[in-house]
Amino acid sequence: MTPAGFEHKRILVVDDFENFRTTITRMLQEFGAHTVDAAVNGKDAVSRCRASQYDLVLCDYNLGPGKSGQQVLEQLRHDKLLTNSALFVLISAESSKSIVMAAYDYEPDAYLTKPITAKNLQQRLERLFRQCFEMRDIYKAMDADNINGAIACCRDVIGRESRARPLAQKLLGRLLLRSEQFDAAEKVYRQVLQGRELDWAQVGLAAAKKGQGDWVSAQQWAEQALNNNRMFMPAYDLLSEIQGARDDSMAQQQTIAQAVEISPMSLTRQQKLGQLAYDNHDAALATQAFKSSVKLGEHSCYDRQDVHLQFVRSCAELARTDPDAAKPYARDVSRTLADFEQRFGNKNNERVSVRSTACMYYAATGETDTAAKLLEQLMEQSETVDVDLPVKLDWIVAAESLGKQQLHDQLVKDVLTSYEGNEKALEAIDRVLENPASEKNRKRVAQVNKQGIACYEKADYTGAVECFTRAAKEFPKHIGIELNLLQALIGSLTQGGGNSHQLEQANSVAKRLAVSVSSEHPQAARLLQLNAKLTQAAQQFQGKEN
Amino acid sequence: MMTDDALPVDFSFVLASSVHDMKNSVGMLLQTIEELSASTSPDNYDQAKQLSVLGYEAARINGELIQLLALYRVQNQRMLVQLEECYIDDVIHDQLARNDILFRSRNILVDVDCSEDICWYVDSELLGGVVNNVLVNAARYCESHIKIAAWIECDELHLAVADDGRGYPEFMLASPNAARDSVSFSDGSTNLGLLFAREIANLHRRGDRHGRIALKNAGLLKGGQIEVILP
Repeated sequence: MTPAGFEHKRILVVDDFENFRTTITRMLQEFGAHTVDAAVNGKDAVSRCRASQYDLVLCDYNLGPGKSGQQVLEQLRHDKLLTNSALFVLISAESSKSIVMAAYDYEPDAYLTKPITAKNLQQRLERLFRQCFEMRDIYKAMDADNINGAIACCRDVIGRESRARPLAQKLLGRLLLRSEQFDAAEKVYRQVLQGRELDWAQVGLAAAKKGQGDWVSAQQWAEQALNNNRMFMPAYDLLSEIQGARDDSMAQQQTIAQAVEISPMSLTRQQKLGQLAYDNHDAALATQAFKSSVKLGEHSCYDRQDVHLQFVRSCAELARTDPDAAKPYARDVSRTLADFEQRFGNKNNERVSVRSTACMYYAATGETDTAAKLLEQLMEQSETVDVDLPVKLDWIVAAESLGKQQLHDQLVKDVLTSYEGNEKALEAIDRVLENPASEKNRKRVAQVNKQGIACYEKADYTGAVECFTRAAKEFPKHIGIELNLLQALIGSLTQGGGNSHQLEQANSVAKRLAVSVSSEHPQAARLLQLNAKLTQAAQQFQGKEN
Repeated sequence: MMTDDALPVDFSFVLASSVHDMKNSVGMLLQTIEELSASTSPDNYDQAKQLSVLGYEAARINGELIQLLALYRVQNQRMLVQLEECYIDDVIHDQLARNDILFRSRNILVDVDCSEDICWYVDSELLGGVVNNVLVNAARYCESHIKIAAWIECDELHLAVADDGRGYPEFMLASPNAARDSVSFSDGSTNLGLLFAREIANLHRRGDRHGRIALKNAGLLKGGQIEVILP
């Protein structure tokens, strides 16, 4: 058997056009292939790969309705239906690089651009087969989960100066990272970087540095890679991971947002952006990103039911703060809710989940009667189902929106009791609380308050306003912060030469506080005082303006 | 007269989108021509000749459209350039295979002079596009012979395509790397190919060194010769 021969290769051709399938199949037979199967769509392709093992899958990118070629690849790798030595070649009429950018976890072994000529196809495939043959020991070790064996084989191939050397070098770095041999990985990447500043090696080095716990260098290398190539998606992914590990969720959101802007087709990145924006209380961005995620998830193995509910939750939050901005999403929300059970099953848990989120959404968008009826039904069943925390939070938010204070307080008490000591859960619960319960957020509130008050006492009102504005965005339900913000704004307007924008901000903060601070609230007297001062400040300010 | 208000959309964007569509159609066309050629009996000389004309013209349109899209992306800084260590003879042979029918139908002899171990940092897809274009162009202007050569000189990759034709006109030789002023609609030559080659070469960077192109006459085959030089 020659390394590049077609005789014993099992090949699958995937395309929705019969014409193209037969042409390619005929070409492959002329090259000497005996086993050439064909699939007409993504689903067919996946089930064929489940039934038998192929050495080569030639798959068109555009497969009509259903999965795209990229999604077929994702599913095959996700379900481990391809061995490490199997080749996946994506064919497209597009210039292939625009598709590469959508790739997230998996890239095909090669791209072919239409039109495909017989000679071109033969040459490319023979080259891939040869490369595969030279890498065969590495792949065998990987298939057997023998990572150290694979690493040794990579070093072998690199030492032999074979044509597979560049590929083996890339793989070696990845294997070392996977087996957490970070110092060895660093050495490999530094060696590559001595030859040339290649983006993938810079990202590899950043990952090695991250593994060593050297966050600063890791971030620098990831940024270096982006400097080198602004379109290099893996650099954004790694940079955001580093920022996440350093607890800088705003920067993390910005990084993923940039990546999504360049390459909006990546589902997992859109999901990540939605969650980051949601956690950062950026409801508008969260709604947009989750909407895209729901759409992109239609045929993907990465679609998740919580992403669909998160879309509805973000939109409800948007409706509470900016109803006009939420309106255009109304149709998408109803479709998402209506399709949910068909998509994810209608067992009791799924039913309760989707109805809880729907209830919360209706309460936020003013469909009070529907929401109240739903909430009542849900409460009747609440003892009999075992739902997860986000669903319980939906009940709490719905009860609050509907003015059912007693129910709200009872539900809050329940979750705080059942998740006591669970820091991660408490951080999630903080979202619906006035004062945070988690260690992390308590510290954070204390810290920003201290910062803001320090500015205020130095009569640096602008600094105080900035600090409390940021904090109010991070903890939108925290009344103490909001009151401090109002006080800082008044200070700025009366003493610090404030501007009309600040007066506007002060008025809207006062309006929000009028809703959230009831007459029994311990801070009610302070609000009353501040409101009186605000009226004075406004008169004084307008007098100055005229 | 048309004012800015009359055209609320970015015209270059509209153009790029429709070029994209056209390219897909031409792709289908090329595929069909390829299939037709494969099923035509070798005795039917006239039909084979006509098909080769069809194939050549469609390939030219395809090449131009690819260039247009690439230039649009360069201009909007949305061009993804990914340098990888590549074997240069692979890049060359890919493009020769792509144009196999063109060369055979026109009885053009193509020589390759590239050592197997030349490995350089290039974006193989973009450089492949440039080579394809230069080859299609050379097929048009050569007598019967094209030569492709690659070598390393002063730590730079030189990739030359030479033909035995009449060579480039004087004005093109003068400043091949000059600004984008060489578009001439009057003589039917937009020099888009040169602009494309220059931009793609320029995107290949190493530190502060940029890639470039060089044109000359009386080259390796006594005709025109273009060299792409990458640091």
